[in-house]
Amino acid sequence: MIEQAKDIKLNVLPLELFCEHLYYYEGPCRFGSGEALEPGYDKVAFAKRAKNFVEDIKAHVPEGVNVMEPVLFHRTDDWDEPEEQWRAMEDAVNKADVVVPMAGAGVQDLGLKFAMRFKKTMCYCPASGQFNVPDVPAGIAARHMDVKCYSEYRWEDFTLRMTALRAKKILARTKYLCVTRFDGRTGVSRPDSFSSLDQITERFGTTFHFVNLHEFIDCMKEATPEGNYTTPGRKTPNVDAEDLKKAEELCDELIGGAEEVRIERELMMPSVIAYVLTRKFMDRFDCNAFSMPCPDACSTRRINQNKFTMCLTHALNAECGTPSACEYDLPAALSEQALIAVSGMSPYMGNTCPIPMVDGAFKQVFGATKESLAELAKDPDLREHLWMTQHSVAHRCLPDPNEHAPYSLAPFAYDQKFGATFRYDFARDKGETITMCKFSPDGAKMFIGKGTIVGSSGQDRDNCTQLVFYRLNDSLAAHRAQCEVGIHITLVYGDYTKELVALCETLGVEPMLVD
Amino acid sequence: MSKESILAKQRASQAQIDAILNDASLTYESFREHVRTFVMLKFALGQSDFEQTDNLSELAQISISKALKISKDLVADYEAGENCEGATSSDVKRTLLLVKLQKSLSVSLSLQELMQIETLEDVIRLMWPHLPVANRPNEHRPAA
Repeated sequence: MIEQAKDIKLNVLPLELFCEHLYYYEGPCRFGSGEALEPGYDKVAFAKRAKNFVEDIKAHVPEGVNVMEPVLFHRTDDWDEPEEQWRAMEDAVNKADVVVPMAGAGVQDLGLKFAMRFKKTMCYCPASGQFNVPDVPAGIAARHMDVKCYSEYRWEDFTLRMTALRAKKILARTKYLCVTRFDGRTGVSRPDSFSSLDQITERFGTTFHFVNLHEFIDCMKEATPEGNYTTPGRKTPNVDAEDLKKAEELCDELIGGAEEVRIERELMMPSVIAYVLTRKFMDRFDCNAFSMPCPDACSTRRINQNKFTMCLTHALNAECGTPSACEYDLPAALSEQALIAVSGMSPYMGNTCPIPMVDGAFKQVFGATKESLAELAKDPDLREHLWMTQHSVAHRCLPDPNEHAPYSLAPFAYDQKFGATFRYDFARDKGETITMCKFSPDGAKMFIGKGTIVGSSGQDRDNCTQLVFYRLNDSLAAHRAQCEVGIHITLVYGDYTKELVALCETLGVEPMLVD
Repeated sequence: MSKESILAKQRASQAQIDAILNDASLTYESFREHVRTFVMLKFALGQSDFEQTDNLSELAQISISKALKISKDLVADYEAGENCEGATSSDVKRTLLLVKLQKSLSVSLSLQELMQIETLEDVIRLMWPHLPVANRPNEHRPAA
């Protein structure tokens, strides 16, 4: 199974807390008049309040949140706490990711007792009570318990909190398929990948499954009775006739939909087979994120021998909302997952850098053509503000995750013309806002940036030359922050900076916000 | 509203309760009529108000707007935050009506039943099965 982020729901459990007065009386903790002090009144009043409470929550949760049937704890002014009521809600609480409790007179202590008993993430909402409920979070925080309790007094903050908590859950449910040759931690080209995978698992819950690169490449052809060269006699998940048929159909679809095709079909097929095999492995090992080290793989010469690259795999994975990063950049894939989780968009990633002015012209950077830089230099507003992100993993779903934009197909390899890549003209989207994101190698920080698309380059070229140009307000601050996270930056269309900042707060990660 | 007028409305509303309790052949339809008339008297509403809405909270708001002689839309602003549980005057009015109805008819709706109440028709539908007269063999039951 490949569990997509869009299919991961945050289960929110409303907790109704009710204290019923059994007698007529008034005083410092109870006020009202006439019938409102009589037994029976509380129950009717609470029923309405509880109904509104649940309806309000349902009306303000973002997409991807499942509001569960509420659970109730009902006590009286005898200050009883029936154990059976706590036990009756155990199953529901266990299924919940977040509990949203009510607050109010006579139940203030129950929020704290609930937290101590169940140690479940809690979040009070504007409908919880009249006083915005700072008391229970304070009580929990002071006890240094392993439980987080939020209190949001504005619905927009509550909605944002739910988005962030859902994204946190998605990161915890992320399981990489890591196809490796040497080290499972980093590839030779990525010193900025995660410094400790155990630390990342501990911090985020994210897990990693490893597959040997040679065993993977061996599976790109149909199995034989004697088994693959690297695993003689073993049954392995090689592509089969059905997979190859699927690859043929996909190849036809990609060629049929392209505005221009600059790669021969037979040289495109191995890259499509690599994609189909990747999905097969991900499904086989229940993974939902992917990476493979390009240089480590490249130097085996088996990439050249089999005439494929993984560019198309990363692009097609990204299109359907599966994080997938070049060069075994595991933080980039997790950053893509964060972006997918908060935005529902399909991400792009690549080498990212500022393009400074040198001697009155923009500095020549890999992938950018002189013509495109000269054109951009005409705009004085871009001087000291121009940035680019470059890799051959652009795809068809950047502006709209549910629709294919116009694209071309081109080879990666200049000489032999193999390795399928999408080419996309980012200039179509000039003026669009992008949100950039990247976890630091230790997972302790997140680069968050916001830019505006100003141009494109490489859509009519081969190789890794595809790139998007964009404008950032504070180049130097962005560069300083980028030096904490690494060269690959992931991005999506739209402004999701506040969602990412909320995610950082929820994760205990330091946000480095630049624009 | 004069004291006499209030007392007259109280007597008239009690008459609706008595009619429910004393009619051995009470039907669901006549129960509905008595309850509607009871609410109309208690909330000092006219027939035209029921044509606007059947939502119990809105009927309570209309009642308050008439008493205060202000627009129904201003009632919520006028009374917001009057109570430490966040209950508004119309919430209180709605609650008192339901308490009165239950007590008068010796019916105790459960919390789950009370949470289902949105409209006056919900009140009638939920209270009816609790009446002794509703439990006669072959008695007509409203659709759930």
